[in-house]
Amino acid sequence: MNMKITYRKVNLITTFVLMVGILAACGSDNTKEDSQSTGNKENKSVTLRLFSNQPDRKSGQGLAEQMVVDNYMKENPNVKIEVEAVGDEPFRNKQKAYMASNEPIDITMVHSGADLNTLIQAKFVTELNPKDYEGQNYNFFDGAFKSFTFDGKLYGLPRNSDYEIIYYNKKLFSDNGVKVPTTFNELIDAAKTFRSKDITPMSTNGKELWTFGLLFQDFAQRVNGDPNAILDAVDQKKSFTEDDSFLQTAKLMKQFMDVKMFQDAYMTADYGSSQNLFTQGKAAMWYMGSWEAGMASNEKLSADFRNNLGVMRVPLVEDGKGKATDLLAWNGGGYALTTSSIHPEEAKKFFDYMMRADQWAKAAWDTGAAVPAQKYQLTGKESEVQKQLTDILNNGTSMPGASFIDFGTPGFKDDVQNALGKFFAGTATSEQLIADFQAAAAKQKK
Amino acid sequence: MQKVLSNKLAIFLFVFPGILLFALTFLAPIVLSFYYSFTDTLGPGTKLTMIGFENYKQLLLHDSRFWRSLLNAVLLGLGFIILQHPVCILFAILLDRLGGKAEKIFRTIFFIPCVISVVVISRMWLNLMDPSFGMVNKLLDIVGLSSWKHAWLGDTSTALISLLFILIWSGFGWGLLFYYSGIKGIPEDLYEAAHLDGASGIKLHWKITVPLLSPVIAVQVTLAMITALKQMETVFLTTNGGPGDATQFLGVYLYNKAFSASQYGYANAIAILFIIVCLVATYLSNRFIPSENA
Amino acid sequence: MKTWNRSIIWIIFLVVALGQLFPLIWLIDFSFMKSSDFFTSAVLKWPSSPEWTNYINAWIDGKFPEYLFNSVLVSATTIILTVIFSLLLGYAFTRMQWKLRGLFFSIILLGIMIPIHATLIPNFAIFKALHLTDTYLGLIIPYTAVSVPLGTFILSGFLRSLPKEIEESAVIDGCSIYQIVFRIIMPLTMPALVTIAVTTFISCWNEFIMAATFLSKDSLKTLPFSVMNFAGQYSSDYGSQFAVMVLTSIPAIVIYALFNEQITKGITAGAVKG
Repeated sequence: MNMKITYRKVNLITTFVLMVGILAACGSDNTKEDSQSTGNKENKSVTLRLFSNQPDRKSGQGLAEQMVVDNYMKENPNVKIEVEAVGDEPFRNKQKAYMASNEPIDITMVHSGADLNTLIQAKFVTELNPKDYEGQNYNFFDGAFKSFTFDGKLYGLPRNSDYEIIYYNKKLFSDNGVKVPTTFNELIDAAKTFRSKDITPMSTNGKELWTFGLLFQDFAQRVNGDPNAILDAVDQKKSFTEDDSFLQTAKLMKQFMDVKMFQDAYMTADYGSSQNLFTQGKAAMWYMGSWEAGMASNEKLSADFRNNLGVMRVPLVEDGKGKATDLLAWNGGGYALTTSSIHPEEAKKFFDYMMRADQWAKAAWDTGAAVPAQKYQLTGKESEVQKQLTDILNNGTSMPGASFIDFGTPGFKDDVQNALGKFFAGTATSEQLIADFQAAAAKQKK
Repeated sequence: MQKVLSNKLAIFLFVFPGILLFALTFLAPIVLSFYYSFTDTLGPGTKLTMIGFENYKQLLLHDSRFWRSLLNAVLLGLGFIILQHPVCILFAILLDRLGGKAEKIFRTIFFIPCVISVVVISRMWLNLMDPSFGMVNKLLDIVGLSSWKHAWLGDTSTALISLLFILIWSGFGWGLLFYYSGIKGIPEDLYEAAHLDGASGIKLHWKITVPLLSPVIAVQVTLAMITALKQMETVFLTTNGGPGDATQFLGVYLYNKAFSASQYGYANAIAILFIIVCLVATYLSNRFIPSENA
Repeated sequence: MKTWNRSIIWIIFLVVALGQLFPLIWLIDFSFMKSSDFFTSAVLKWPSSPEWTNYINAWIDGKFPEYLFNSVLVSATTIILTVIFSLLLGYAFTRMQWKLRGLFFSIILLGIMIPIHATLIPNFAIFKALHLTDTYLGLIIPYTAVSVPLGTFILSGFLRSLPKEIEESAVIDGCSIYQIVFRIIMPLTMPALVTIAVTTFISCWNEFIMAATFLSKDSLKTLPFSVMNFAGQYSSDYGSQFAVMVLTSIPAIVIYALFNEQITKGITAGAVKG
């Protein structure tokens, strides 16, 4: 009896093992059939996959994106759009994995510059015809395609006008009698005052390092008055070490660290925690991009914070050559079509719809999520922050059109970020930082 | 007996599925990695040029970040061996002497952090060590050590030691449990005999417990070295190798090179060296630590 | 003298136990707070009105029930497979007689030392080619592969300490090799198998790098990944993030509480014999 039972057990287990094997085999067959059958029935119902870096679908750009997706699905009941959205850091990694394996996603968010360049070299994104996106339906700003164009070919469309400003907490400034700084020295003085009152002057996301790149570029532009100087240095048309303005900029950055401009744990702060410090009123300033305009209308944040949110231009540098209106502006994020798409025609239809000025651009502006890269209609319901941002953009001068860390290869970006990491962690001097920049630029030109 | 144990079909059925699984997840990828490590590819599907040993040359001769990663792993491993394991052994001995319900309760409590996900542990400690609202600095305030307050993970001088602390906190229970069970296996009469000879207290344990634990210690020390080398998730989720490479480890470095920097060929060269280093470390620690079990 | 010693041990133990538990208590405490209350100067502070919305967010937006189901399914299958494979391999390596067993044993043991992160990227490409990404098997297979080497190691150690007489008499009674392994060896090695099951559970329940790389379908994701994803989604809402972390930890702690005795016994038996 006992013998029998256990024998059955043995059989059960072996059957189980076998079944797993069979299931595995079946599994792979099924997916093959699936993809083929859906491929044939294109007119009936289509599922498109959108890969996004906006996991929060209820506010900001995630909400705007979802609104457009929902609009399209309402107008085209036969099309279902599945959104896969993960945070930006995992997004970048996962996108490389998808690229390596030709995952059949249809539309993907792309970061322009170095990241997009890699996707192009892997032939993962489809070339677009710029003529398709001219005229009233789209209304892109001049030069908006710059970072999406490689060798004269367009591979994606920008979703925003990105430019760096300083968000600040008006209440913290007035309560502590601090003047909103317009020059570098005033900024340093403000930091000293805030520090003496135990308030973090400025919050930043040092763990991710790219903000330091933008900060450096922003002030370099204010020192030398030439938005293209740093890009030329990346291209090695000039040298980082020979143009003295870069070393001067590095010394300004050193001053930030000397007066403890940033929160104490800035090197481990990611995007979310740096934002949190600012939105909870613990930091007086946050150096970030125009894509955060949505804070002013984000119901999750306290009314007290939203009412006190202000925007200022990045301060001038005394005896620098830059102007107050100089703006570090570029087009960073965008969307592209993939070559691995199973429904390329349907995907393009949706893509063309999404990028229309009355879809993405309108949704992004109306929800206050970002400043579009297309001409947008003012609704009259804009928040104070949005009005200020529009004003800053409209009056902006000397815009470089690219972020320098993204202007070279991904390897260059990695090297530069590593150099910035060492510098802002306090283990490298200003001279070393500039020498590292130069070495990174020279290496990628080799 | 002989016939049953050399049943060819049975051996095949027993071994083949396991080997197949192993080949699929370990050997095949290593072969691919090996191939890619001689190229300059940005990722599969992109242009690929064979560049011979260029990646390896660059890594071994010119890449200080690679060596820094190795050094960090060695420091972390030494930290485990010098700080964690003696404490684990001491606690195992004390726990064994406690007896009764208390023994069971403490054993349970000490092990709880071990069952918690590394994602939770990392995020939790990142918050605990946050200077603006974390508990660590508040506790320092309370005990009057305000001057010790610090951005623990954010400062190059304390990042690695903070990381070690987190890992010891979460791994303490495992080490303890292994030593504890080793002690439980030492026959009581050995102690009694030693007692009769006049040994007691620390001396007793030094003479009896530690030598008898040596097989366990040998295995644990080897595992500690490997754990340190393979360290990835906790770093990835807390400091991502920073600040300024202060907590850089091979796993993180390789992951970032492959994904963020798109230096896929280079990343694969790191992977191959990484594997070699792990194998050599295991070999060495097996070689130099006397183990009756070997 | 003796009682004095005892109290010192007690004090040390209490301090360390507190050190082990306090961070978790802090986590639970703060998971009931509004984000704006996080910057309090108190170490622990029970909020006057606990923020249950944090848990509602975690449960619904964090898709806790779905992810829990996936975690249970993946872990359970992985554990069963790992135990079977370790048993079969361990037996073949220690008891059965064949030419290449030394070689294959070393190869399998290499799996303990090889860092999985080194093979992650090519792995993804291979699994993709086999249509295994975005399936449960896509996680179960690598998890099992990673767990089997240690399992085989533990079981072989245990088997070497078992006397061969039992098997010999079983052969004389006419048992086949399969009956010996599953009827005789399996019950005898139960303590080691429990150890294997537990170590496998802990490692695959908590694994996230592979889950993050191999899965894209939301419906397949496991708990640790949800913590990451939720952190992106609620990046400025610490309270809800903490709530999802607490929820994720509960199942593992419950399982540990249930099997506490077996785990210790299993490891004790394994260590003594092995």
